[in-house]
Amino acid sequence: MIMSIGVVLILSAGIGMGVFRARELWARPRETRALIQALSALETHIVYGETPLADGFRECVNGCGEDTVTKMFLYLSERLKGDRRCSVSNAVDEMRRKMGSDFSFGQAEWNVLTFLGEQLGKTDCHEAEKQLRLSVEQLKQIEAVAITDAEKKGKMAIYIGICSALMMILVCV
Amino acid sequence: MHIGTGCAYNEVKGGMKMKADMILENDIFPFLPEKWGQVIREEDARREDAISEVRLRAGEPIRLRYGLHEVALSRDVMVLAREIDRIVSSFCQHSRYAMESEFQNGYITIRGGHRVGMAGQAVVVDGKVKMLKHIHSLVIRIAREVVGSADRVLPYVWKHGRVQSTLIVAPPYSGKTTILRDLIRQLSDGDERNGRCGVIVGLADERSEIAGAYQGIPRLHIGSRTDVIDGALKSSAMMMLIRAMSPDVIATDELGRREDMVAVEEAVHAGIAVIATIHGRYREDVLARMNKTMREVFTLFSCIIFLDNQPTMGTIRAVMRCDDVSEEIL
Repeated sequence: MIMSIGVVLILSAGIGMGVFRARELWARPRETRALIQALSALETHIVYGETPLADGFRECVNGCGEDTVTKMFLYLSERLKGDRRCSVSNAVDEMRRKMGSDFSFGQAEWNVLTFLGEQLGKTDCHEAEKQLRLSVEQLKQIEAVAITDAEKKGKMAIYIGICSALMMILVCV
Repeated sequence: MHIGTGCAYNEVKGGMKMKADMILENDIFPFLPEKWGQVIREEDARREDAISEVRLRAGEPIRLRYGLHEVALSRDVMVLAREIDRIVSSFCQHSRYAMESEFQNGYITIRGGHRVGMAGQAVVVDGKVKMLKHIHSLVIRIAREVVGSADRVLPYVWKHGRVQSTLIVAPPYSGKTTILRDLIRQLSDGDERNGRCGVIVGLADERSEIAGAYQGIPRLHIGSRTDVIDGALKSSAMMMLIRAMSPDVIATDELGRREDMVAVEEAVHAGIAVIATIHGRYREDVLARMNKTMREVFTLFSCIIFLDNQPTMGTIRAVMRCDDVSEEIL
């Protein structure tokens, strides 16, 4: 009886670890998707509303389900409003230093954000629109790669979890 | 012809100087690098009058203007092109796209009504300036209110219990916008103790200099009965005010184009008094710039006040009543 309970526990722990790791791998495309949505909303605010960037950052994450991305844009908004000497690129750099570990982003996503930080707000509406669309296109490609990666590695993580649990059971028995 | 005696409005000293310092601390220094703010503060502390302009040119020291005098600060603090770029971004709230029309005119108005003029490389599309890039020069013109600066002008404008259409002719740096703002405030608020009722003033503020409107809200005191159309061409704004707001008086700054004169004529024919300013030192200056139609409109003003910046800003050099001027012009 005890042995059966032990087997079930080990198996559950293995599967749980696999699922946990798979969820981590899926966080990247999820956050990238949220970032794409936020940037698309930001484009609308800039092009049609001529909303100042700090307000645009705050408003573009209204209803965004991804906490990390919401926090990121709110941080940028606060930073730009709070310190008039702070540039957008400085705010992005600071945000990455302070909150970077909370994200599952790879270097590619950060490169897009850095590019936007250097360009956004320094040009007219038309240019800003082009920059945002270019960034969104790049992010879509990154997202597609991240999804494939997550599918592949996610399944593998669950299998490894199950296999590890079985191996441990065999060793113990 | 009635000639007014030469006189000057009070210079910004004492309490006004303190107010001007507060304006710098709140509206300008937060955007500049701390070191620049510090050297400007040090220079300013040595002076009795208030800064009217801060000029920043890449590769040059900071220059300050006090009335008609310019002071260059230490070459230890040189202006850098990248700092100018950052300052412009900050003034625009990092949103140059939201100020495209202002950039096309070469200046932006920031919180507090201060005007920031810019020079750099123009981006031209279809023959029109679309944007400025590589900005290397900035001039920050500090908007300041001098309450009571229009006291000497007011008796000429308010006569026989009503506002007379008045043209203020003045060279640059003679305080015409400051006087016009105070005149609008005094007319709008009225002075019940002296039996002067307030009138509805429509203000066509094309460059946001008079009301200092920021995001549509006037930041400077322009009176309780003043309606402002901010940022529109003054000719269009005047027509809008005539049609929409039924003002007793329309005020605007720096007439110059033919359309402005047509709008003035329209207002006067609608029984609305017009108070406006125009660049020039002498009557001949003004007339030389006007074509025949414009000269005819010139006669619509009941009173023409000539200001000067010598010996001090805001000196009234001459005041002419309309009939005499009309005869002389025509």
